[in-house]
Amino acid sequence: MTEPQVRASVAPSVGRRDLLTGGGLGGRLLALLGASGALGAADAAAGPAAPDGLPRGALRRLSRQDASAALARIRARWRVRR
Amino acid sequence: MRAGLLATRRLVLRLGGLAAAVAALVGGRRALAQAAGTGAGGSGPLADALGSLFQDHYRRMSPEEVKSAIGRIERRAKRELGVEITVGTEPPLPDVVFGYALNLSKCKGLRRCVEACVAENNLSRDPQVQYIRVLELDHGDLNLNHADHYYEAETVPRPGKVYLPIQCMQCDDPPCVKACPVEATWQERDGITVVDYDWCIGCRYCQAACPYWARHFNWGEPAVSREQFNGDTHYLGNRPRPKGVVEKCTFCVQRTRKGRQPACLEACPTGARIFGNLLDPDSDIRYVIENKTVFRLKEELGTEPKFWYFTD
Repeated sequence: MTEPQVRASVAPSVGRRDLLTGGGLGGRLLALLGASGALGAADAAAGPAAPDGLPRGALRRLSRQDASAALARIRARWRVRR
Repeated sequence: MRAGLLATRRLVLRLGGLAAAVAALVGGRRALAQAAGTGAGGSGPLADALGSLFQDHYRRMSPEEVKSAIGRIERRAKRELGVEITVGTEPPLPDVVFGYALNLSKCKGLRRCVEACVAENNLSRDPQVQYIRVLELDHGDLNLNHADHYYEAETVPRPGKVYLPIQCMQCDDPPCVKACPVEATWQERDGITVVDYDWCIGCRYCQAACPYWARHFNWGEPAVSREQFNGDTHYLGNRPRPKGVVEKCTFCVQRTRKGRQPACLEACPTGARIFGNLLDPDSDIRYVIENKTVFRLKEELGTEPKFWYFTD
């Protein structure tokens, strides 16, 4: 009689899910640490300012072309939604 | 011979057990449905509580189920808050995408919009929940990290300061919707992001995902007095919400889908606010976007806000 085999590609994802949902306090803490580490790294890589030099989270002035393009994108998404 | 008899008896017992289980399930479901008020009668507190418990997602409910749900909400409001309310379900208007524009040159930080929003949308007074937050910034400083969220309203407008009201941007690519693990929040055809308060599990992922501080969690039972309660409500808008769910600005869906302006706009004494249909080339909002100096908040995030700021 052969033992049931677990595919290698399945096992890690099951492990991650356990860590996030059913892994108890330790697992949740680990997941939190991992998430905050990833966020911190992404933030550090992005730098303190947006590409145009303005601080992140600021009001950004739009040129006429940018404003028209934004409206066109909104119209396009609406066509998909309706 | 004996073994054959036993096998037959087991088969009969199994079949009987299965039939009994099926009968119990059918009977139990019928009893539950009657208690929940979906059958004949059943409109007491217990029936309403059970009905809410077994209620489906708003977008999956049949018209009859929506009617039952509205009946439960109206009865509960009468029973618990002592107010008569009507809960509307006006769908999005055809060929409409709502947009908002705010004139930064005119805003004086009076917070009349905040007061009107609280009154219109039945927001909790204690603990306080406010969909609009007005920031005070130094003139020329665009960094929101330096903003004062709790300035004294009696002294405005203060010299050298500008005021920046922030509310839900009704993003066209809303990160809050993507974050919801149970799809309790979604974007309607008219571009308004709404919440099914009965489907929300209160995980607050959407609150964390929103870069505009636009989502608010009800830590306590929302406290609105009987006299202050606005009885003209919408299912996806200002109807009574329970403790433990997230809520947000809907551009006053209960008003705007009937052709009215949002309460914050009507209350603004400086005329800084403009609301309209982004698809209508003759609308005021289209004029502003196409002819004024316009700004968007946190544009670099790619959320495509439908709330624009502009200056004269």
